[in-house]
Amino acid sequence: MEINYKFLIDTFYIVLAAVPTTLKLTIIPLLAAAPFAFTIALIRLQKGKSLWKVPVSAYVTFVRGTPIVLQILMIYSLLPSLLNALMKAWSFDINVFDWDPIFYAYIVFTLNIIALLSEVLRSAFGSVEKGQLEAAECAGLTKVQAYVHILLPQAMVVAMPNLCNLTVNLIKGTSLAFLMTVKDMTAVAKVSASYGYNYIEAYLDVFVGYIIICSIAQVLFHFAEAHMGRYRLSKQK
Amino acid sequence: MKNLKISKILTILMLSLVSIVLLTACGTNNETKTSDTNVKTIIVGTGNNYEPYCFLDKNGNLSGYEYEVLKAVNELLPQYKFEFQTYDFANVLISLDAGKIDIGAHQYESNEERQKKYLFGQESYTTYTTYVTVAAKNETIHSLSDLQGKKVKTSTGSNSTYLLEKFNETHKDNPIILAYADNSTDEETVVGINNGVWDAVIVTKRDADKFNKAYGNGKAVLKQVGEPVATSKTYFVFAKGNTELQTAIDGALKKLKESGKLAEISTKVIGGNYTESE
Repeated sequence: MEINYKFLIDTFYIVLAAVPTTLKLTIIPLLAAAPFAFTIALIRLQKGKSLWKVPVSAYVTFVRGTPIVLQILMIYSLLPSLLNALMKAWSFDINVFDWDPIFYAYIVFTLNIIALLSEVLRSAFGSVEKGQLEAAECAGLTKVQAYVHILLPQAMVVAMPNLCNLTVNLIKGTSLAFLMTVKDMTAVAKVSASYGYNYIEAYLDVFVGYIIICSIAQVLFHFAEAHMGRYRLSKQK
Repeated sequence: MKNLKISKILTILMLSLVSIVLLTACGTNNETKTSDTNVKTIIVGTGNNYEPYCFLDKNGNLSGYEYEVLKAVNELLPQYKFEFQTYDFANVLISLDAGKIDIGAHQYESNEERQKKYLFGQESYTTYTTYVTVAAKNETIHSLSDLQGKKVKTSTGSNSTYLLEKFNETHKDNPIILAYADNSTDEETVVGINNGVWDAVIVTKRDADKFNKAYGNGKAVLKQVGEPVATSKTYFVFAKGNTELQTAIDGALKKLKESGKLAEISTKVIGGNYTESE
């Protein structure tokens, strides 16, 4: 086995140039999913029966129970035709097939992250003692104030390790975006490899690229956790 | 005490990792196995998702043109026994690098870059002439230059894609938009082109005929326009230095061409004689 070092280095720069696409595919879905995930987590944490609990749980089960490849293939092949039919029915003059495929990638990853993030948040809120909410209400805070000022800061510290896990998994998951013709890191490496059949070199480049990005993400989350959890440290001392 | 334990566990982990690496390295360097009857087993790596060249039939058995040709080649070379394994297009080549297989068969086109890395057969076994292919109702695209600013569906690994990229280098102001879509099905291609997801695709005449037959309901859904985009041929691929196997197979292919057997297989499996010219 021979490694073409020139190709290895040249392609590494091409892979680096695609890092923004990978980051966009990670950050935009995470931000877009956050409000929905919060709502779902709160609905599922409610005591007693709620009309929303069943569909919301069904959604989470559906997303967690299917491979992301399948979600991509289904949404990417079904959604455009569906949207096109809707646009025609409402007589909008928009050609959905002209849309950048990255748009569909955002939708798929957001839908996926909503479900996964809601579970992370649910477990995090569950870890804060119930008494705190009651105490906050006794002290005259409204429910919203209690959540924002008392529960959320504590829950986020607990959520950080899981959130980090989720983010790193999403970064790696974006390598499937090439199925939707989005040119992320994996895609550009494969494209460059194809002319000279230098697949091993290209795979090595992407390997290093993902390790770097995921390591940076982990370090950032580590700092975020330390920052948010600083009240705990002072308590321990 | 606790630290000692952790370092012990770490040592064991590292040792097992190293031994795994060493063991696999040993495994890959083995030459082709020789059995007691002096018949060499040759492992052929091919694909499983490219009709009619290499695909799995309804019963999950490998079939297609690559398989039939190599079977006929094997009949002429009794000193070898071919065994088939299926991989994805790129992984056939990686397996060839790793020494896991001896022949790569997946309609590989040759070019200078690739010849630096692999040994290509001298004797081709299929022609691969591609054309600009558009929806049957399309009236605006008549040649490659009409594709400037239009979306063309391509896949990684084909020479046509490379030619389109070269074309773009000299037409930077208004390039052809290349949409890379590996792993897409024939149906997605036909539907996508008719819906305007893509404006064109670059395929061979036989591929276009296949699409029309499968999805046209008796009518043509796609049509091919203009001059050929690329006229290339496909070859079997070997690991660098494996000239013994390469010459043996080239000889057998030559005989198959002379006897008309290769043309026969092509007509039977692909539906036309695509072995010399189109």
